[in-house]
Amino acid sequence: MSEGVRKGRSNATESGKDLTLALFHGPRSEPYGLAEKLSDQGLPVETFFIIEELLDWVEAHRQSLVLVDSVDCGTEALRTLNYLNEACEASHLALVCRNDLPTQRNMVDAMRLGVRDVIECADGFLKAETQIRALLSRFEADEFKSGELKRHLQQIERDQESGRFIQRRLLPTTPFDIGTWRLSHRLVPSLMLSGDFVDYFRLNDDCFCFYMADVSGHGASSAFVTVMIKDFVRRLARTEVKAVVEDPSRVLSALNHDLLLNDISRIGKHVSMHIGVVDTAHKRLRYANAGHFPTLLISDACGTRFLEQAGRPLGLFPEAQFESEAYQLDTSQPLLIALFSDGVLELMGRQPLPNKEAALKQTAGHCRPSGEEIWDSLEFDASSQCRDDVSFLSLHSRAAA
Amino acid sequence: MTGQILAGKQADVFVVRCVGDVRLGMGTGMDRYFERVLASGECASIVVDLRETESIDSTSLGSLAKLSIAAQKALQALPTLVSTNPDVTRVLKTMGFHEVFSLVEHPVKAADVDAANLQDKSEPGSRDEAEMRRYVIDVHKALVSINGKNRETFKDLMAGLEEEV
Repeated sequence: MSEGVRKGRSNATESGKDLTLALFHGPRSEPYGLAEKLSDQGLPVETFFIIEELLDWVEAHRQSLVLVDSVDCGTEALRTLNYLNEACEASHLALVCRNDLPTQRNMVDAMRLGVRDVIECADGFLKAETQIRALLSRFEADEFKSGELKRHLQQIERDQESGRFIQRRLLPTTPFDIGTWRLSHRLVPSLMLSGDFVDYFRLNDDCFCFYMADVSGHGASSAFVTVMIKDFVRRLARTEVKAVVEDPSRVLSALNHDLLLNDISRIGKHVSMHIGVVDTAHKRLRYANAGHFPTLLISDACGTRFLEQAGRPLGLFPEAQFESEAYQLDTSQPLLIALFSDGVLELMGRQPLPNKEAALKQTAGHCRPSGEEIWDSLEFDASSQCRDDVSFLSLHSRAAA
Repeated sequence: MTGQILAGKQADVFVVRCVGDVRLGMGTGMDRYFERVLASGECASIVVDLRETESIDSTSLGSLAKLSIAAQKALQALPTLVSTNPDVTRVLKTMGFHEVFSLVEHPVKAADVDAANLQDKSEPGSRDEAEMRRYVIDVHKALVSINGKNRETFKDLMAGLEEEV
């Protein structure tokens, strides 16, 4: 049956793309010169009678247009189409109707089975040739566009991966030890790049600073703002050590001013941020909040609680004012301070907020004596896709000897 | 998308309703839309209705904050924010929204309008006070009038603005 399989050339088009054209003669469909006619007109076609041979051919040609020749569009033709559609990865499947055009119902069935075009061949070859040419050029344009899109997408993906690499490099070492304190963090971005950011660093021999910032939205634009924040805070902490130690809310005021100057709200960005300074000599925590929720969680010998503190987010209100509060630390016992981004609450599913807070408190209380990571104890499903960035920062002080 | 941000006018009160799990994610043309509404000069007061809000993301909250800033400039009055979900209210307060909105935490009933009306008649007070009371009455009326039946009078901003951006 495999009579007359012509070794046709591929159809080199203007853009140099190679498109291949195959003609499959289905059941009861005898050759009637269409393939020859098309080849004469510079459209080489490979003709097939055996479906398996067609499938092998399609597999070897990435961009293929398969014409299925059919006497009519009856059950047999539809069965063939069904089989082809399931087995064949052809880029495009078109039905050639030699006699009458299919009825509307047959047409709908054929479309359901993956046929994208119907070519009329009843009144000679001219109409069919024109239709096939139009189809080839449309096919080529589609392929070109999809190729372009794929290239763009690959470029963006590579770019995002580089961005992710750089953003990770901007994060502090984890864990990081300062005296009896162990500082650690975890960041899980919802996209390649995160709008959450954490940092901690020494201010002087006795004090260290830590903060968590959450830029609204996520992705590249939010990630850029986190870079601005890191640079700004580190610079301010270098030049104004005393002020930062005494009153960390000054960082929030200065950063608010800077973000307003940079007009980040124009692109829908603002920042919630919780900052703290631990003075190990005076056993004191000073902290300030700019709209970050949940607030600082502290667990010590007296119990576990959130240090409720309100403050407006950064980058929106020129008149916003921030205040620092102080908390006396009892470092004779193990002590744990933790910060979460609101993405953590989202990971905890649909339950009332007080339940989620209670769960965080309970876990913090459980982890405090050993210094075990709260993150690990919360047992989040790491594979679960979160719609928001998720981050966590913890400061653990083991009992001073 | 399970959440919606709806906007519409009830008399001359501009009402923004956030329903369900509201998230703008990357942001939309919401801020520009609010600016246009305020610039039109057609609304005397603004109400943000969060009574049916389950949760709200930070981008949406940022848009509401900007609405407050713009409203204060245009109307010289704090817009009203109604939030009866304690979980949502907690977040709003942590973000200092009680300073930039007139925060209503209890459900608004028809009786509230009657009470405000009654007070309006018995105590004329100064012009400013009278204006303020009128403002409160209008806002309460608008809130009471929002129900399932007039849902269609609100424009879905999340769907509508995607086309504009």
